[in-house]
Amino acid sequence: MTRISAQEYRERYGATTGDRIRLGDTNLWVRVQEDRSAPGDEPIWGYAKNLRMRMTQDDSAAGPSELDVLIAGVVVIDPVLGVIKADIGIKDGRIAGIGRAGSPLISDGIDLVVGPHTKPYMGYGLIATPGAVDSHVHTITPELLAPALSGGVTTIITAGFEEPPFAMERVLAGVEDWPLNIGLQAGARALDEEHMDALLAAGAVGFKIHEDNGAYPDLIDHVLRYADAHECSVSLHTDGLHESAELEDTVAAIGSRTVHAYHVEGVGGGHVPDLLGLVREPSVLCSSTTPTLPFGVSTAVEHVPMIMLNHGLSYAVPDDVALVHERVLPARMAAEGPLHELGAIGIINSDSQGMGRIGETTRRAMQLAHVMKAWRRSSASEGIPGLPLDEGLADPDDRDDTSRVLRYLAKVTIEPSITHGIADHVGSLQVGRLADIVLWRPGFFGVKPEWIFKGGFPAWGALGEGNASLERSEPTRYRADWGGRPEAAPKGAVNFVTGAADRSALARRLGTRRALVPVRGLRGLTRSSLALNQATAPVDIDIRTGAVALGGRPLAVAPVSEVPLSRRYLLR
Amino acid sequence: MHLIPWEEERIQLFAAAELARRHRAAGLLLNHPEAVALICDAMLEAARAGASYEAVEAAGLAEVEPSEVIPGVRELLTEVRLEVLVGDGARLIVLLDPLGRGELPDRFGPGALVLGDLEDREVNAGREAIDLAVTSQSRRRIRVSSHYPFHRTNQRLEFDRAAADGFRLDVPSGAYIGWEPGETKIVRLVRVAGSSGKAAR
Repeated sequence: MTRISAQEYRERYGATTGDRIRLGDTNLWVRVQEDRSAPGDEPIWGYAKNLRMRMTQDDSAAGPSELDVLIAGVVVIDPVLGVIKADIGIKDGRIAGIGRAGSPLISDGIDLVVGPHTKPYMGYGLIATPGAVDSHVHTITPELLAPALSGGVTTIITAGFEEPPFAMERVLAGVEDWPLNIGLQAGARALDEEHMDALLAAGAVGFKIHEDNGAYPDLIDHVLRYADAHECSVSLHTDGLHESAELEDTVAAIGSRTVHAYHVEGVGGGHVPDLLGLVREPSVLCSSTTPTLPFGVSTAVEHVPMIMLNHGLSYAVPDDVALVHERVLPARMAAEGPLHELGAIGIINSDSQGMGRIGETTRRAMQLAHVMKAWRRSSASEGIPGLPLDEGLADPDDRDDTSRVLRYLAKVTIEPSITHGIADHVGSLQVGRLADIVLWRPGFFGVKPEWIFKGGFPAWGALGEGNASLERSEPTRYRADWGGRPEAAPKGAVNFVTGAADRSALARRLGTRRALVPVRGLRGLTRSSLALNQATAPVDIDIRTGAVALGGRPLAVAPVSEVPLSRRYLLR
Repeated sequence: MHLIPWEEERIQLFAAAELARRHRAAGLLLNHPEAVALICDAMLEAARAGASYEAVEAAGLAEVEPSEVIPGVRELLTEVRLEVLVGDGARLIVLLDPLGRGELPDRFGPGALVLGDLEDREVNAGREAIDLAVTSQSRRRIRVSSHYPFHRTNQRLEFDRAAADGFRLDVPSGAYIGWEPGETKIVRLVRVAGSSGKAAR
C-alpha cells in the first residue's frame, strides 16, 4: 500500500466520489456519486504508463471479449445512470458498459476487458454525456448540421415540412455522410391513409400536425388513430387562430392519446393565450424551444420579426403584424421556465430554423437550469406546490445541484428519446445504446464540447491545424473527425423509421449505408413514462393575459438580462 | 500567393486577434477566444520579426494582462498550443496557464473541481506486499513503471527474481521508480490482483 495526497490523486486520475464539479460558468455543481474505476490499476496510455502488453491490457483477450474502444476515467453525467466516475467501454458501436476497464489477469472487478485490439482514449479530467437528441428540427438548410454537432447534438427528429417522399429522399441522401442520427416526421396534410402509408414507406418516423398545414380536430383524431395502429410518433402544433378549434377542442380531439406537444409556451405557435393548459393533460408530452429559453429581456421583442418571417407574414399587412403581437405574450414565457422546473414541460428542443437555434439545444437547457436555480432561491417560487428536490437549498454550504442538472440534461437526451421511441438506442449511456458520446472539459460544459463520438468513434470536435506536430494546435475549430467523414459517418449513424416500413426496400431505394432502425414503444406513453420530468400541473390560465397560476400562486420568472455559457466563450 | 492551409489558418488567428484588439482598445474585457487569439498573434508577430523561440514564448506570456479578461477566463485558459515560424523553421510552443502570473486560480471558477475528501488516498490497499533490495548494475539510468511484471525487468537489476514473480511496484498507476547506475533501492512490491494474482495464491 502506498499513499498519495488527495490533490495528486485528482491530478493523475480526475474527480472521484464526493467531489464537486462546477459546470462551465453556471451556478450548477454536480457531485460525483460513485467511482467505478480500479483503484491502483487505472488504465493509462502513454510514456511510462500502463496500458500495454502484460499490464492493464489482457493480451489473451483478442477477439469477441475485448472492447473496440475505451474512454478511460471520465465523469459520466447521464440522466439515467447519474454522475459516475468510470471507464466507458464500446463494442460494435454501442455502449458495452460504464464500469471498470483493464485486464482481469491483474485487476479485480474488471467488467470491460482491454485487449490488443482496443483503441484507447484518455478521458481523465473530462465529462461525458450522451449526445443530445433534438426532437424539433426543421431541415430548412443543411447549414444546421455543423452547428448541431458543434453543440453536442447527435440525433435529430424533424418537425414536418420534409415531405413529400421525393423530398424526404433528398434530405436523407444529404444527411447520409453526416455523423448524426435522423428521424423524419412528415407533415400530416390530409385525411387519407394512403398518403400516410406512403410517408412511412418513405422512411418517416411519424407525423407532425402543424397549424400552417391545418391542425383541425378531425385531423388530430385521424392521425392519432393512424399512429396507434402503426406505432409512430405524432407531434403537434395547435390551431393558434382558433379557426377550427380552441384548447378544449384540441384536448377533446387528443382524447387522452399520446402526443408530443411542441412549444407549449405558445409563442412558437398554437392556442392563444392558453396553449400551456396542455400541461394538465397526462398523455400530452410537452416540449418548448430554444428561442424562449431562458426567458430574457429581449425574448419578446425578437419574436416579432422571427414569427413574421418564419410564417410567411408581411410587414406591409397591418393585420399580420397584429396577429403576431397577439402571440408574443410575456406572461406565458414567464411561466415556461417554472413549468420546466416542475417537470411538467419535459423536453427542450431547438425548433431549428423554424424559430430556433440548433447549436444551443444543450446550452439553453443548462442556462435554464441556472436561471431556475436562482428562481428557487427567490420569493417568486414560494408556496408553489410540486416543486422537486433541490439539494442546494437543503445545504447551501455544501451545495450541489446534481438532481437539477440531471433533470435538465434529461430534457435534451432521455426524455425526447422515450417520447420518440428511440430510448433503446440514444438518450443515455446505458449498456446497449449507440455510443454517441459528447466529451466536455468541465469549464466549457454545455457550450463548447471537446469531442463528439458517434457510434463509438470520434466524429466531430475542436480540431486544430493539420500541419501541426500535435493535435489541437490553434486555431482549433469544429470539424469532422475520421468518423464524421463521408463513407465513415454512415457506419456510425442510423436512420430511424417505423416498423411499418419495408426496411430492405427502403434501404435499396435510398441507397443508404446506414442501419434503418425501427422506433418502438412510443404509443400509450404518459407523462409518467418519462425519466425525470413526470409532473402534470393543474394550472389556471388568465384567458386575457395568458398569465399562469398554480395552487393560487402566480407561476412566473422575471426575464433575465444575462446568461452564463455565453459571453466568456463566444468570440462575438 | 499559393496560400497553404497553414497560412490561411494564421489569417484566421489574425482576424480574431484584430477583433480582440479593437475590443480591448474600447475598454471591453476579453473573452476566452479573444484572449487566445491575442496571445497567438503576439507570438506569430514576434516570430515574424525574428525573435528567438524563448522570446516568442515571452511575447505570448506578456500579451494579455489578467486584468484585461472577463473574470473566469483565466481559469478557462489553461493552455495555448501554437506552431510558429522561427528562424529554424516551424516550432511548437505550449504556454501553460498563460494568464496565471504565478497566482492560484479561483477555487470556485468555471469548471472548478472541489474535492469532497481531502484525505490522502491509499493505493494498492490490502494487497500482499514484499520489500526487496534492488541494485542496478547498469551504466545507464533505469526506470520501471507501476505495472511492469517486476520479475521480468531489465537483467541489469539485481534482486531475488523468484520472490518477485507475480508482483509489481507499489506505486500509483502510471507512476514509476528509477535507479541511477550502481544504485541500490529497497522497493515495496505488491502482488497483482485479478486471476493471475489468485492463481499465485
